[in-house]
Amino acid sequence: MRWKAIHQFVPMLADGDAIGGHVLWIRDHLRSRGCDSEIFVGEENSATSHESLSLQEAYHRIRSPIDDTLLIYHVAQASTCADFLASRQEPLALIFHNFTPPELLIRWDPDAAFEILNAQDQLTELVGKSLFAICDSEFNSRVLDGFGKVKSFVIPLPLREIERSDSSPEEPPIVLFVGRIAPNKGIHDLVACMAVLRQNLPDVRLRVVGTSTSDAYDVVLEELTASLDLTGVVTLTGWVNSDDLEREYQRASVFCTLSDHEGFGVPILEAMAYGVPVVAYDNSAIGDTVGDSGLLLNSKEPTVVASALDRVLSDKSLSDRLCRSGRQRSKLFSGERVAEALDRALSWSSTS
Amino acid sequence: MSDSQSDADYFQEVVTEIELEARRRAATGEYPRELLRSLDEEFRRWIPDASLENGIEDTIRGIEAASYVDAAVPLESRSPVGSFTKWVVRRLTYFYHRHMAQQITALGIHITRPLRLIDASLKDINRRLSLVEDQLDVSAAARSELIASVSHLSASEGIEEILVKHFRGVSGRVLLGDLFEPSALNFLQNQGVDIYGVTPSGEAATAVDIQQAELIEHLDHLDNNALAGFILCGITDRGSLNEQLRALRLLLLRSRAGARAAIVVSKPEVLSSQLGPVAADLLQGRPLHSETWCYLLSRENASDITVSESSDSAFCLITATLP
Repeated sequence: MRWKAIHQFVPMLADGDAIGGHVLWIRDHLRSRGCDSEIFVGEENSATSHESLSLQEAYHRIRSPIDDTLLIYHVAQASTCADFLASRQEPLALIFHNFTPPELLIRWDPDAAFEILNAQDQLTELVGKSLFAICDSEFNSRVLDGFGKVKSFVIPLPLREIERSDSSPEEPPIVLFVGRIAPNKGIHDLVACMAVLRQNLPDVRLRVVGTSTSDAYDVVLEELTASLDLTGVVTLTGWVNSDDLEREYQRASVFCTLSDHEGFGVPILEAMAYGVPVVAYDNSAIGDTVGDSGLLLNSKEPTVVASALDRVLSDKSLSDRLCRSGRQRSKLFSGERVAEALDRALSWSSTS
Repeated sequence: MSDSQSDADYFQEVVTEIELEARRRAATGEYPRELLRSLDEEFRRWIPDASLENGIEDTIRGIEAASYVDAAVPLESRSPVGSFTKWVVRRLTYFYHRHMAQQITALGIHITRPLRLIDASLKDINRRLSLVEDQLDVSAAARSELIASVSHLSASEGIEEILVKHFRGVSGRVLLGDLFEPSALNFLQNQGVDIYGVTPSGEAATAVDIQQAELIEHLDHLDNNALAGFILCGITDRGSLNEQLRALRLLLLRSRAGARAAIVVSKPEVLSSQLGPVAADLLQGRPLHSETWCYLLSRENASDITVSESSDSAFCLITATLP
């Protein structure tokens, strides 16, 4: 591989989210291969400032000859990084994590929707000058095609190492969702399903683990939960650290996502790795992620989802088979496999 | 067959079974219909409405708020020396900061002014469009005249005794709508029924217990489980199919468990002969057959569904008890 330096650019390095973890993993992998590698951020985050450098520092820090240096941009939102990279001469690669479609956000958070439109404009400009792109899923690869022609590799996000636990799920049963609390994640649909599911399983609970991104949506969830008499049944935990997250997976009886849009689904794979059966609404990249190892629903009608959760919670043989199949599938996303795929893409780029 | 393929086939079979099971549970009432209806309504109630219009207004306000720059820098400090130093710096640089702040504020105003003009212009276009829509509805005036000629439920139709019997002992408010003349309401009130009327006609809103409003609009603003019963009429003869179904859906949602329901509807063939071909052609709505109302109520698991006829055989009265 001809690259002596491969530096990554990311709008913001979040603590504990899927993209943040991916960026750090790539940097560590590249450094282990003897490559000079730094992370530059458009917006600094005090929680991760020890892992990253500001964009201004990039002017001084990137010193290798242009032909030996590859710049990688993680595309997920609008960023000053895009303007910086558009002006650089070094070869550029994109890692496309996809955007939440603006139409899913405009009703709740117009500012965020307009930011996505800016991000789309930036991507259109950068695709033209990119040497290649890495997409988390086939779905993302198809979406990226819409922004211009570029050679793309489908390489999923690596799954962190998860030790198999023999702990049993809690009784009464817990339905778990892990991810951002945002309208496009369909948390309100999950709440509605709980109202129906409780007709047959009155003790069942829903735990939603993740950080909120929309105050307006938080209010709706709170009001909806109260009006459906689900206070105490539905719990929004907010952000949790990795130990607590592990505990949430271990307590759960079933993982359920009714998200309207996912570029990939790290929590789905984590649930599988922990041996939690997965029930998911099949759309965007959810099908790519779940594969043949979960119940993929064609509808997120509360009656259908409630029936699916009821079935998984009451049919032990189905639940066991989903656990076994999920654990098998999660192994496909191990760090070693993803690292091999990443190395192949980088080798291709160094010879092209 | 590989493990993965066999899992895929098995899980697909399970999903098919789940979909069938979901339909069965919804059809048999194992998943109560009133709950499923309420899920839709509840979310519609809380989701931000008129998002685009509010979005423009909110965005402009946001720009205005953000573009106002206060040149008076705060002087608070943990130490008196710090506070004094800030005061000195502020005094020395105030002329400069104020000049900059004025320019930024002016820029904000220049940005928001055209946005407000565009917003006002869009609202004006919307207003004019709705006027044009009214003018395009060439038969609106004719329809109003025809509606006025349709007979309405009154206390003299020979069904009042059945209504009194049906609502006797009901504890809580009973809604009567659309109401076009108050005799039926007065009769039921005199029999001890806690009833109020909703009428779209200003002329009919003659008493405290008669509210002037479109029935669907009134129901939209009512709390769930607010009604102990209802008498649905008027809209059942003239409303479009969608309006009639929407009214029933909202009434079911706003009624508590065990509520008493009554639907008064003209017999389609009788109404048609009364109206004549012109009115029958021009009226948007049409009455549904009593069998249809019975079907709709039984689909909601209502019990004791009974159909009675008025003495002149012009109206049908369908009574039922909600689950």
